[in-house]
Amino acid sequence: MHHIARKPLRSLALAVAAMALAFGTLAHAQETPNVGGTLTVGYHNSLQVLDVMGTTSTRDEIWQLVFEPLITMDANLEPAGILAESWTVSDDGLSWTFALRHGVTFHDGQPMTAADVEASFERLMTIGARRGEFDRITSMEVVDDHTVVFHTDGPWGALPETFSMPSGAFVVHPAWVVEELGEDLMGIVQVDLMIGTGPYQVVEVVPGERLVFERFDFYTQPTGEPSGWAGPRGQYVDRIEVLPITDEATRSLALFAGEVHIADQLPPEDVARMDADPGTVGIYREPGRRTYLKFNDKQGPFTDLNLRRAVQVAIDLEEAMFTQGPEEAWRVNPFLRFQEGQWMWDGELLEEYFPADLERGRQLVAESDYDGEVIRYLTRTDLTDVFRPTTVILELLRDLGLNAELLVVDGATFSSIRRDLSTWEIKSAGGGSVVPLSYLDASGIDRNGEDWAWVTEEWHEQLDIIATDLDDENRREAVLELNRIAAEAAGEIWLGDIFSVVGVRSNVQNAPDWHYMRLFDVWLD
Amino acid sequence: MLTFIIRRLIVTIPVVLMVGIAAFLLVHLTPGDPAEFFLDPDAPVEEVDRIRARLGLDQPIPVQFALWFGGVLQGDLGTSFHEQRPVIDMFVRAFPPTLYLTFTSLLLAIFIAVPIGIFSAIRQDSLLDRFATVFVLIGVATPNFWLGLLLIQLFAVQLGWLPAQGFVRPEVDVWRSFQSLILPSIALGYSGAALIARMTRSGMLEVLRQDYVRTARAKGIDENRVNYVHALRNAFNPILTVIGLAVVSLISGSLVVELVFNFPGIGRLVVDSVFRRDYPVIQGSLLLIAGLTILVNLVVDLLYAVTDPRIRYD
Repeated sequence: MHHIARKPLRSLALAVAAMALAFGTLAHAQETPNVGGTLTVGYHNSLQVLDVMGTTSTRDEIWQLVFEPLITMDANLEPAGILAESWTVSDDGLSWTFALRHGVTFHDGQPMTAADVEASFERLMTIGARRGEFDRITSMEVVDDHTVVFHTDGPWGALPETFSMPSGAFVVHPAWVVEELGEDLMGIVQVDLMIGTGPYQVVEVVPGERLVFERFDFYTQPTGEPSGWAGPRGQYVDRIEVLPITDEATRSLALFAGEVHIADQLPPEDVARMDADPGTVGIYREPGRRTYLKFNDKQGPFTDLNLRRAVQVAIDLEEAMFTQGPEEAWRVNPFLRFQEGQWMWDGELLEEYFPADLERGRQLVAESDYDGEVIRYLTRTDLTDVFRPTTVILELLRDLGLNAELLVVDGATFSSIRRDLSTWEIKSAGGGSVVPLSYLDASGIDRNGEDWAWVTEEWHEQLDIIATDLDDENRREAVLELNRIAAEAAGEIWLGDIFSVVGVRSNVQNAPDWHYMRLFDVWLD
Repeated sequence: MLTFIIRRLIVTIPVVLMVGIAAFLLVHLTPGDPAEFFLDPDAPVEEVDRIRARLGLDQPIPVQFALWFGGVLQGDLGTSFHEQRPVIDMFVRAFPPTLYLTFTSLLLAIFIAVPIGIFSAIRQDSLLDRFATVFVLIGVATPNFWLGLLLIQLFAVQLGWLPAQGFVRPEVDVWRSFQSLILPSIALGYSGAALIARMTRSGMLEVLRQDYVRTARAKGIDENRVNYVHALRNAFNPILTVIGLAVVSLISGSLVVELVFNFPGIGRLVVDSVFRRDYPVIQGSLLLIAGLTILVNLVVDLLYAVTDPRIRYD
């Protein structure tokens, strides 16, 4: 058993120096920040898990306070170094060399070295929730304390993006923590093992009640500009208390009552009320979440391309998204993923494939083999943004002359029965993760891990370019092509993006408006 | 009396066994895969299967039941899938807030409802009686989650007198703990109070029409003595029965109220666990709630003997 003792502050002077470095780096972009105080956050998730690597159910806003990966993503979803200062790929594309930042210290006071990266990589490949995505790595080599090399079985242009993925992330734990955990997940009460290199350290976890973090005074700031998860991290407040408040209405009321400074994931309808109250402000965070319709093209009437296209040409995306609340709360987006940065946005898709032409849709139904069988439309109640367009979609299906029935279930049931393709013909779904380009393959795979019927050889060729090509331009062209293939096949219809709403008290400055909340950048007036 | 208690406790064993089997089957027959909650929706099937194996869900159902129930018989309710800690530890943490909440709600209900029920029976068809009827109707018809939200809006947001959410443990701060109990107790206790008031009124009315009450009045006994000694004592057993039912109803009602008030008790634990299909926690909670219900019924049965001398258990 490894005994842990948190190191006391070595000296006030050192702490002040660290703070000065942090503020000096950020100050040019912001007003003079206040330092100190306790930030209280009403959080939507019950936060029962904090093992970043072992599961994908941890919350990025929370673990990013404590743990750090080699590479993270900026606001354009592009890879940016955090613990890695830089990286290069060999001419043959088979070896990636990472230079680690010097002077990085874990919360237990020990320096972070290549040995810790090696141990963490081994843990990732043993219990990592996303370990399958790292299969292309054949070995890892420690060159010296601050240099590591990853060898791959072929060129893998998507390596930096895969490393930057926040969900199930490749974060760096101290080697002794990895040894202590073995093949177990890190339990939510194992505070002594929650040792990272992040700007805040865990000081208390009371499951279901609160998670308390305090500024890590020996934090060494990454370089660059704050963007997305990249760049320097503010560390303005002394302490951050996260209260899991899972009920949306209670979270909102706690904000209005002044019991929390920030309440996340509020309904868009609350924004007007927050703006009208001098004590609160409502903020939309982009890109937010996505919602889409998926056809079962392996069984039932939607095996017929004409029937899928009928829905595609008839659907009015504006009308479907209008159910998501005020116009500021959403945008139409029939593209496979978000519009930000690396995601090539092709507005022509909208006019070409989604003309909102009901008559043309009816013609396509008439041209199809559809003979009036029941179409089960599967949807879930636990994700509001997935459920909201349901009535519009159901009405559309019936307007097209389809015998549609609604099948409404809770989230857990939905996750379970969607695999059984004999139970549904069309389903609503959604997602919130900002993911790298290489994750576009998800659109072509059903929940049993097999290709949908519409997936072609050409689809796989484009995916292969996105995954392996070392030239980003080639990869981006492949993304555009992939979107066109998807739209042509009409296997799924992406409706749009719904922006998350966060409510903040008016004394909260530098409030988060990106997809994720950078809590470490907030200060209090 | 002791023999009765022992006999009742022995009868409890097969009941708990049945509840255990029912809880296990209900949880496992409900659609939803706990492994899915550890992974992204896009996770490959092999990863889901790996998590299932880690959670022991790849074993045949009878084996899973034997392992779980074998543990229960030894006092081990298993380990939470998500929090990776013993379910017993989670109960030890979550049970006191629920106990405080249920107890204060019950006290509130009894102290409001019993006097209202008595007075409205004594003054049948009076203004007070009509007021009591309205009180009961509103209490029965108002969902406690909605009442909870209204209370938060008024007393926490508008007036700022009481906290909107959360629970402060008494060992941390007694006064703040009391404050944090007030709104949830009202939200939870109101429907129970309405039920108790209604039953108290009808119980009293029935007794007040009995011959011995008329005889007592004919003998010139003081009206208060007739009402509170002769009548109330005899009306008390049905009231006790309703209070027992109200306790069970308060425990189940706490599921919603704890969610609304972000109260870290058994109710919220159950709801969170159901949403995440955390089987060991759900199963353990059902056993706990069943055990509590049996215990409350036993206590009520024993109290019958205290309030009514005609009842003997020996």
